[in-house]
Amino acid sequence: MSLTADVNPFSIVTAKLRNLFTKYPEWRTWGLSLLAWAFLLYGLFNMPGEASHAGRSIYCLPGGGASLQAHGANGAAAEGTFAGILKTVFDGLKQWNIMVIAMMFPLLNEPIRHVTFSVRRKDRTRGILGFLLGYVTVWMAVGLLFMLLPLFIDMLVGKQNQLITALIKASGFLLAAALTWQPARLVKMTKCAQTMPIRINAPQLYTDTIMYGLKMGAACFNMCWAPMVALMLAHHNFFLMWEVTLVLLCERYILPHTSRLPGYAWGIIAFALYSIEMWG
Amino acid sequence: MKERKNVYQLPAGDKTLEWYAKAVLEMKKRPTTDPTSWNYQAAMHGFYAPSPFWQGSAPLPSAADQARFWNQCQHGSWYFLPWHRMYLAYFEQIVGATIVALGGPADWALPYWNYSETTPHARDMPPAFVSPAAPTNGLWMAGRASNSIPARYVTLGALNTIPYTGDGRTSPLGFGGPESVFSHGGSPHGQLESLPHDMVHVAIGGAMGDPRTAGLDPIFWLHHANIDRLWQVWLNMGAHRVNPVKKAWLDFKFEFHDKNRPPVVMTSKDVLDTRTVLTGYTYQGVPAGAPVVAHAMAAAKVANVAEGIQLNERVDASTTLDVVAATNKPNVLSSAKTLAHLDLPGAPRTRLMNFAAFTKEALVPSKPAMSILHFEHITGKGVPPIHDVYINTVENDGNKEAHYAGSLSFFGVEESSVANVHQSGSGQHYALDVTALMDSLKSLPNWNAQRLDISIEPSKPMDANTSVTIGRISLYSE
Repeated sequence: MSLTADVNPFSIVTAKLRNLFTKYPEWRTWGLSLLAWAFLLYGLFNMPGEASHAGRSIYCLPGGGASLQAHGANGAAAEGTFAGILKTVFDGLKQWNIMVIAMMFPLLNEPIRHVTFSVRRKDRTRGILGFLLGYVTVWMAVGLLFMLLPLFIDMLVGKQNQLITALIKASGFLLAAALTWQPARLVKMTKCAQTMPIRINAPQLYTDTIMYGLKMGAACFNMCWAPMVALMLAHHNFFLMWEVTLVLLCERYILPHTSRLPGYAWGIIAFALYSIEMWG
Repeated sequence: MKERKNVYQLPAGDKTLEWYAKAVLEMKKRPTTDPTSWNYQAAMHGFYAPSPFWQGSAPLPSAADQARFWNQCQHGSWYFLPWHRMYLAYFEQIVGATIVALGGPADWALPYWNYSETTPHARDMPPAFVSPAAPTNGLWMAGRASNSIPARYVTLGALNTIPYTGDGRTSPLGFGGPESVFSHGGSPHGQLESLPHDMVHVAIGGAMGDPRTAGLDPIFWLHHANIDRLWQVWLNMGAHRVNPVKKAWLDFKFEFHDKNRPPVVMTSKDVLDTRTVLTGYTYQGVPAGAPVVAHAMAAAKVANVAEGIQLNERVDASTTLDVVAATNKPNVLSSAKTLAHLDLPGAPRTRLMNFAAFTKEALVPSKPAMSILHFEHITGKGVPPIHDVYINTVENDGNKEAHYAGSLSFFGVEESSVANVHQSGSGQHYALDVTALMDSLKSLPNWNAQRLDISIEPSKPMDANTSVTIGRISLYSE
């Protein structure tokens, strides 16, 4: 691009904006994340019990086994049928993916830049889509497992009293806090910034970007599974998701990679959840 | 204020090196757990317990202290220059205090080795570091591969690079390295870091050939004093050569130990002017004083206004390049030359074919499109030899040097190949600016607009215990 100084100011601003969008391709994932947050926020105020996360999906609910039965279309149709279960699983995965997009996509600056600047300009969007496909696939597989978590806990502890509920809610974040002091955590963290060679011609362009997405999805899960499990156990809601996302963003982009502050943050959240459950 | 002198211009009878040798021996007596010991200071740059150079270094500091203070060197990063300036400043302070304790002068300053001079023997390691070759000589180090550096590996083309920051993909290559977070390696090395810094490390070899052992060799510190001096030389050349002004660069905190041992914190902002770094220092023959931040920002702004967005882009390092060709499989290097081919999409684009075609600038011949050759995801073992890169060489044409694109040092390749607490293990990344070479090659009768032949040749045979694999070779162009 070559512009001279006598170009009108609007063109200069446009050129600068274009430069910004080109240089920071992660605007796409941040944009998708914002949309996901907007959807969740919309659901919070307009579709209580529908799009808002709390009370929506089986993996969010205490007594998930019971809710599985009642989670068909409009909460009534296809009750107990295979189709009903499928619908429930599908709805759960949909919500799970929205949560992944909202919370995890902003953490992908480095891989998105790597993909973007490894492929031809004309292939950048395709490359990013391939990467995100691989990345979401990993989280979707994990989501299926996570959907069973409340069922398993329900089977394990049965009818919960207040103390057990409080302990379960807090335990995930306590686990996340403890893992912050795990020596291997730092290596897991650096692996989240791994890159790999990407070939620029189809079909390898697609296989490589999808493979890279799978690899980064696995690395990201390896690093972030504890807070995500904690969210499941705490029957996550919009505000809790938002807090967890903030901590993850600080951990990734602001704090030194050796910082233990996220561990303290998880600890505080665990204590808060326990206190709220016990004493309202 | 101290003056760091050219080691080859120390006056007759000068005792700078003699005191340095004594201090090294004294520091080597201290336990590795002591932050002022030779081992601890070297480990702050890099540490690797299995290396034979680290044998006998136990007992070691706690794992927490190691994670916090060791393996901190910044490579492939815009912090490369400021981190090493801080590192040298505290090292010089500790050596100076040791010399005073030994009864030496209070004004000892680290000398520098200017291997790029054209004077005879400039590229030879100063004799005091070579002879006598015995452990009683504090400046001698066992295992060096060479005491002399080939002329090709000490050239100063880096000084012609204008932007401080750049990676050759999202921007032109930068003098000081790409914008990064804490980076122990992995990103493209800056121009000064690639040449002569990396080359000198690997050409000397032995402990110097690996970042995890380099600080153990006393010549390391004179080498880095020269790199630090070249940063000031570059700034003094002016013409929009300015340091970054982003807070992320200015305010990033690094931890060291001073001569009294407690941890101390420094930022890039603290080392912009060598005269204010600790007690201050200058370099022999180099006017001191980097532009202050406000001055640097003003300089960049003036440049933008005076020369339009095009220059602005270069000063801000915001020109984005596009990949035009890349290899489809990894290249494993060996003692024989390795050939790789890049299929070009056709005649490389020039500015004439881009947006400028619609402006009056298009009516005059434009300069060639910037072309950067990238070597990505380089993994390997050991300390491989420097490899020279040629483009479109023809057997026996007698003019091979006209096809020389640059060299690859692989400094730190083994460490970069495995994920650890400080880096991802994705391998190294080098980039060569081949704009001028590509332009000249296009005028040759055998130019093939569809294909580029890359020849990678080792400067000496590879040892059996070394290996290098280049994950991808790619060409980026405007």
